[in-house]
Amino acid sequence: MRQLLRTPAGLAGTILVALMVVVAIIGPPIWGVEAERINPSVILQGASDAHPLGTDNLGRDILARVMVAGRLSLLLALLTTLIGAVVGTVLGALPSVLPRRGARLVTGTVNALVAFPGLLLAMFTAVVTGLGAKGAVLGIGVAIAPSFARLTQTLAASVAGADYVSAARMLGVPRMRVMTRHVLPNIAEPLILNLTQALGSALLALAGMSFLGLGVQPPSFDWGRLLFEGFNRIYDSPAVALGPAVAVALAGIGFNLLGDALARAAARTTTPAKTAPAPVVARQEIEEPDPEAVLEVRDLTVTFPGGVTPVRGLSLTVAPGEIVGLVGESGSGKSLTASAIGGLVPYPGEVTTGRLRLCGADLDELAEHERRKLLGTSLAMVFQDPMASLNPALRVGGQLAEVATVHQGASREKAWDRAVDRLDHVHIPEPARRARQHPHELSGGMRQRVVIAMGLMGTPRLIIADEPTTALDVTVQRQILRLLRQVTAETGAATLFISHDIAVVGELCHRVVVMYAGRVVEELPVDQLVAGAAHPYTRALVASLPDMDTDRSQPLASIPGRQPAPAEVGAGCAFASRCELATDRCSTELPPLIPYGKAHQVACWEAQ
Amino acid sequence: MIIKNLTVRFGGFTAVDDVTLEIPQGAIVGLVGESGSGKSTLAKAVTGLVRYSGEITGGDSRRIQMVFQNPYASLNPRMTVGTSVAEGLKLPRAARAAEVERLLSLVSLPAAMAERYPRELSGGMRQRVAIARALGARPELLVADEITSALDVSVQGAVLNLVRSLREELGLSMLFISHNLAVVRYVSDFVAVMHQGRLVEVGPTEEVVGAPRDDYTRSLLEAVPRLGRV
Repeated sequence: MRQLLRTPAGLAGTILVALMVVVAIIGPPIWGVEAERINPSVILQGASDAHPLGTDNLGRDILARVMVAGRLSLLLALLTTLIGAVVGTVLGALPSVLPRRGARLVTGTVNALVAFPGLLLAMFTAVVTGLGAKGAVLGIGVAIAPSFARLTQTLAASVAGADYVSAARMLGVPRMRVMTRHVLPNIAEPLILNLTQALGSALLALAGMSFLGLGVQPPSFDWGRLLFEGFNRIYDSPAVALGPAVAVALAGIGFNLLGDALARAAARTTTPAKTAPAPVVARQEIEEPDPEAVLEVRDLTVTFPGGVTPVRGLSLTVAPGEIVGLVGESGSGKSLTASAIGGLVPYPGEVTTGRLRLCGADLDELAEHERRKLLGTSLAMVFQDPMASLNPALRVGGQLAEVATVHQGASREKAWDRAVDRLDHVHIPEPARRARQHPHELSGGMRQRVVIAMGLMGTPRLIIADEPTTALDVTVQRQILRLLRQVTAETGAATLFISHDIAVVGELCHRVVVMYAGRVVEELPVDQLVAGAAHPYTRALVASLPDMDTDRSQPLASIPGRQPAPAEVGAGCAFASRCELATDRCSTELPPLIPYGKAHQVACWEAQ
Repeated sequence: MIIKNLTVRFGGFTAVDDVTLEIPQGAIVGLVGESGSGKSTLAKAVTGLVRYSGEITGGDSRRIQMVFQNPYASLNPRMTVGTSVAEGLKLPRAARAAEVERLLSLVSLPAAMAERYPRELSGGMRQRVAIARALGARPELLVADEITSALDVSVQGAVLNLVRSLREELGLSMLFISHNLAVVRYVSDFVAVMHQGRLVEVGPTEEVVGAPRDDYTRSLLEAVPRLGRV
């Protein structure tokens, strides 16, 4: 509701609709008598002080009549919309309930009706059912129904494919009940939103019918009727016709604005609850930059509005030729870390760093164009979905060649040759033929190779691979891992490999960085992972992973509870609530990441 | 329960090609294969969600239930956990609450959970609810289609333990489908390997994993990522 009033359109819509409702309620009791008072001495007058909108052919005050007509206009519109909505929803829901043949018949009928001009349908029905309010309401109602039916049908079809509907069908829940319990409640929201907008259209359409003389008949009157009566006097006394016209327009605009605003408010996901501002990350003294490192990150923090801090004071170093695995569960902040390094954190996220050095240059100190150039030539990123990096409309060879023409100033032929050469290098069979194909003609593993080849068009110093094999089959995953290892060894690039799969990380990487709730909890050489991990979380993670040698007679280890969401992380160790070793100190005081043996760091008060 | 000569065709494409597979009473049969191998289609056919030719014998084919991969899509967001679990129960209204409580306790969830909505639950908890719902229909066969793929590793273990304990306590027969051989190996008594719509190897878990006869099985085993193998 608050969101509704925040936008000017929503506010205007709400005010207009509220105004109309008030007029409909108080209109008849206040102006009712005056609207009906016949006064032969003032017939057909224009606007005056006594009658701001003039009078009609019986000397009745038109302003009073406009105010009184509001109730009938709105009631008829409401009734019309209800008829349209009920008929439409039932028609739209029927195909999901009926047996196949019946369903096809209903769908065909709805399709035919949607194609039929609405006004024609309305006028036809109105004439058949007899002139007057009843005919107009039925007519417009019937005219609205097909679009409601179509909307219901589309929405129902999308929900009918949901797993919970399949589950209900398997449990033998009757079709009718599936419709009322599972489908309708989950599509009610858009239907109700559509209702508000339909109300506006119905109001306008009814006014149109009355204006054509097909709607409300005297002595009753609605806005359309008043407009009809005043229209032939519009040249002598425009106010007579303008009054009802303005009323119709305002009501129509009001309902449409409100409907739009409601739809937009509903589409927006719920905003995260307001929490305390982000905790200030304790700034440690930053040591001298490491001249050897390709990538050096110190105190990287990513904050979103509302105190949500998915990455908290992360530090990381990657040396040339080294593959560092960044491992963590969903929500641990590992992918955002990658985005922050590549400058890709989406708005409104905010990135702060103590230091962010790539190839010896401080990214924070570079001018924007220099930073882009450095990232464009020395950073290669590989994502989980290769289609995120490939343009589906372009041939893969052209996309690769573009890197060379844009960043290296190569000629088109040379760039194309290089592209084919790079495709060959990542073991794509028949590279010259593949280069002329579009991404959709390639398999998932092949596409991922193309993305890696794209990174190899330049001379990458840093490769960031964010879950590059998660969507792939194990056999293909194996090939891609092998390729990454080969590429790292050949180019001497530093590779940051991000994955939720500790087994994959354990197989590929030299060094492992474990993240939990936005912080690094442990950093260790890969050969220490199985037996030498010191943090209880790392140990539990390794223990809970079944592999090909797990003892099948023993239950698997699992960690009770769940990782706190980025907005819930407290002052102490985020893992404390799930940790067997936790003491009082753990939940109040944050353990720093401190050295623990050779090339091994851990953030735990109780590390053994 | 025995799946006999089951074939599923989509137009000219044969997704499942003449599969015959026995699921012994009280056993867990693991079905592995890569994407596109037809394992999920087989699951849908067995549960009656897609049309197939062939037959399912040795039990009531209507008493087959399935647990889906994505616990975020398999529960109606507008129904409480209790209502969802009670859906398959053929019981008078009065007996339902007690049965829901029993089903929730079977999957190690507190009875108070029945009042909650799915959005308040973690992925692992939702998956338990989905299992409880399926158990409510007293299935003769439970089909589990990639039920741990959408879960984090730290939660996966608990769900796998639950699967095993249900087999031991209830004597539940299960078709456990996964692309992850390590997971299948851990829970299954028998393993069936599927490739391009056909079963290429079936046998007791230790045999298939320890001494695979088929080349494709070998390549699958070879590709499983292992900790500490460099």
